[in-house]
Amino acid sequence: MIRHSIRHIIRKEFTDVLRDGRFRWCAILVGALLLVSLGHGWVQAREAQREHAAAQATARDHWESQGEKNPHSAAHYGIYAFKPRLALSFVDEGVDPYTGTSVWLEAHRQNDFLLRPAQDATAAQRIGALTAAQVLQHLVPLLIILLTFGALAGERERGTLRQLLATGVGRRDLALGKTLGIAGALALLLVPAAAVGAAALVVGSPGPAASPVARAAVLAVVYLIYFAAFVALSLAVSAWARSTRTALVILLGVWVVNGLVAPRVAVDLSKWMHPTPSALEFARTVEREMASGTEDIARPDNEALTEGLLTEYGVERVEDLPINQSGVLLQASEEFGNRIFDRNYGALWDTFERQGAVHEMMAVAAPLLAVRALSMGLAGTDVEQHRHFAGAAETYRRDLMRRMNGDLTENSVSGDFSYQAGAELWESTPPLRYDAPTLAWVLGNRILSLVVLGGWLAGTILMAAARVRRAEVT
Amino acid sequence: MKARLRLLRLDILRLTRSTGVAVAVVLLLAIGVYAAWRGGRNVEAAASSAIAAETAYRDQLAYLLSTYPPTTEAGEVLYYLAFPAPQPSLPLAGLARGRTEVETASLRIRLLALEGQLYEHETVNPRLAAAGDLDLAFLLIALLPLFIIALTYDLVSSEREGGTWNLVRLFARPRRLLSLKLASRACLVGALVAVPVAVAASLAGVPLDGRAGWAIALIALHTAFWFALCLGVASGRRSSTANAMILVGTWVGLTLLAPAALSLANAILHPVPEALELTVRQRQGYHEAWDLTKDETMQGFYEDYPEWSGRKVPEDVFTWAWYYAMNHRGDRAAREASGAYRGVLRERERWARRWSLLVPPLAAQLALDRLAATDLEAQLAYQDAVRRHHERLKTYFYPHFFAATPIDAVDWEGVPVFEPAATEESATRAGFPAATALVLASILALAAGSVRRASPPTLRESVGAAKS
Repeated sequence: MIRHSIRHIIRKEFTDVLRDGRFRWCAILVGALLLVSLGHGWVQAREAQREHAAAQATARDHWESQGEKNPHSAAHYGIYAFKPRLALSFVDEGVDPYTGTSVWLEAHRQNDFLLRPAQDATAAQRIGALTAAQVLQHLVPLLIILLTFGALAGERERGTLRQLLATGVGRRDLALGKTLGIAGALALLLVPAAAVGAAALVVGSPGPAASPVARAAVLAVVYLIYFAAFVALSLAVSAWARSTRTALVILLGVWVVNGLVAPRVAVDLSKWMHPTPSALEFARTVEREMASGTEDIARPDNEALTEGLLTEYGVERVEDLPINQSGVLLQASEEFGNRIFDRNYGALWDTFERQGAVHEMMAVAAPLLAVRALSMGLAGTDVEQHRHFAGAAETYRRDLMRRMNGDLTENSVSGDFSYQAGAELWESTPPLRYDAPTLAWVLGNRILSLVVLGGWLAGTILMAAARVRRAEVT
Repeated sequence: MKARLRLLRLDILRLTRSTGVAVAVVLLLAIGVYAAWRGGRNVEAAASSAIAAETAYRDQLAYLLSTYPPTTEAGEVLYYLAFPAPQPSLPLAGLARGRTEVETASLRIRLLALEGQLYEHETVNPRLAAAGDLDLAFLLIALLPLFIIALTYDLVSSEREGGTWNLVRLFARPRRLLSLKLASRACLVGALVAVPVAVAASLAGVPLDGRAGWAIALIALHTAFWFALCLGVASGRRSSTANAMILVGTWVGLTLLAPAALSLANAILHPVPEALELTVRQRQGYHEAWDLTKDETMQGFYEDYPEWSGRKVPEDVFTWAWYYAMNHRGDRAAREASGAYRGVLRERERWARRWSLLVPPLAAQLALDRLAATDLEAQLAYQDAVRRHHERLKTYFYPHFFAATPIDAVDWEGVPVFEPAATEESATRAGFPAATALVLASILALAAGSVRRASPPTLRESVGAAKS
């Protein structure tokens, strides 16, 4: 009997929603936006991947065909490294527009990433871009609110709530039926979109593997939890509010705070709690420390190094050394620089991550912040994964410099500036290989967000249950 | 008149007694004053970073001059020396931050190839940059309309749903009641706009010039547009809920979707494949020169600077004149790609501004950014100023490179000072199109409302009845 009535309610709610012209238009609009943004994101990701492969090949070609030159000149000539796009980046571009995609690896310096798409965009872009993630994070919750705000408040306003309950339908069943009906209508929109996304992932799947399917599955679950929390919250408000009007206004208020106000407040809060140095201060600090070292990191003592070499090889004069002393000194200076870079860039990245943690904490007030962190993480476009690649590129740079200095040391003698290495050396240096982090690594960074998002789901469901139980009939 | 003022006061009081409205007012005021204060702080920070850049340059110069022997060639010291090029920000930037968060207006440039130095940026957490800025423009253009919607969506329908509309039609003049309700809401919203703007203007030290005038006019017109739209929708016969949904839908479309769609279209119509190419070209142009004869490298230099074509450099020894000519070769190699790149960006900016006129909030936003010189065009103008400065520095130092002047013979005090990009462009040019678009959009919104009203004869009929 009860089962039966639930099924009725589900069917009624489902057909009501589908018949509602407003829902049809909203759903068509949201669906179209979702498809357009997925499609564009996918085309763009493929294009970027193609450009990335071409640029990487060109850079490698430039490196290998640079002709005969001194290894240290080659180290200055350097090579570009390009950040690969992970398969899921077409769903969420994350921080990619603000990080840049290429970095020039050269002697003596750790460079910043260049070519941020944000530098090519007009100010209009600052309001928001049309990506699948934006649609899922902002518009779908809005659609949920529009579908749900009248679920109970509407019945009460029309006086049908009393009648319904009089027929013996339990409040819980009523609420459950309504929820499932609405969920069914939403599924009509989301399932095809997810199918398109999955197809795009399978067909196109550019970029390094990094378990795209597992990432996509977790991503889908995250968004489902987010939507479920919104449905529960809307239902709770609909049960509690005196009129549909009040329910709508309250829910829209929640939506605005969640989507527009909280993220920006989180920006200011995290900057205030964990300030970063300005570009000038940062550059000055690095320059100063490179010039004179720090308390713990002393500049290499060239005389002592030379002295050590002379003793090691048992000769009197630098000219008699079987190796090139400059290679050793260059490598020492390179290693000194690396420690300075690690110290400064490490501190900067750590501050960025602490700022990120403030964002995740703020998710207690706005679930969007948790969803955003998870979404970027799973799409492979968050700050942590940028740092991961930047670290790999820097490790590669250091290896390259070590090879160049090593070749200079071994194959020439001190004071000989005419030594030239050739294609053999360039070709013997391996290209940069990058393995994107695993799903476990990504989720390990995002535990806080997972917990908070789970808390939101549990909290809103409990709230909805309590409100439905206490909902007034008239 | 007095009676009306009293009624107005009463209605404002009635409005603010609603908990929801009171909470929203306090929240918006708090955010507004905070954003204004932050804007002021940002303008101050920009000013102090300009001073810091100058100090950094002085310190570095003093350090270099004291560590290198006085006989060192100027070229060697100039390899390290970074010249400051700080662009002072306009006080209005405190209201509309635009793209300042993702760019820097305080580059330090060395005499080396310029192209690779132009795209340095602030050390901002990309995650924070991606989240967007809480500036006054965002508050007034994106958030405030929602408050206007919340205040006005049930202007008529609440009376109808509350059963008081017939009373109004019988005993009062509906139009007068409507204008009273509108006036009280306009006063409330006006205060919410005026207070933070006044605070921002005083904290950021905005002078009362044409720019500020246009900015204030745009904010006022944009607010008026939303009132017009709400009035147009709210005076129809729909239910409160339907009104709210229509208005919020319009808001989502105009504030979130249309700008995002336009940005997407802009990016597709004006692709920038040159961005990567130009840095690579510059690197290649510079490095290839190591394998060329010095004379070959110098030929390109002489073409750009014929005044030096008589001065040859020796082939067999290193000269700084040649070294910097080699850097110049890098910029020459990237010149075409760089020009094309900037061309596309200018095209994007023009396109965005033209099409934004169809989307009132975007039109207001972009015009405010233009007035505050925080948009892409301002950034491009800044880069051009940096290019000019780089040229002036080259012109100043080349005689020293060719003459191999030692550092103690260089007049370091006479080094050209950075001349910021001009921001004197007429404010009218920035503000007028958007203002016109806003006025037209407001008229259109009102007209659309009254056309729809005309078919079910509610208001007009009742007004006529009241008059007779």
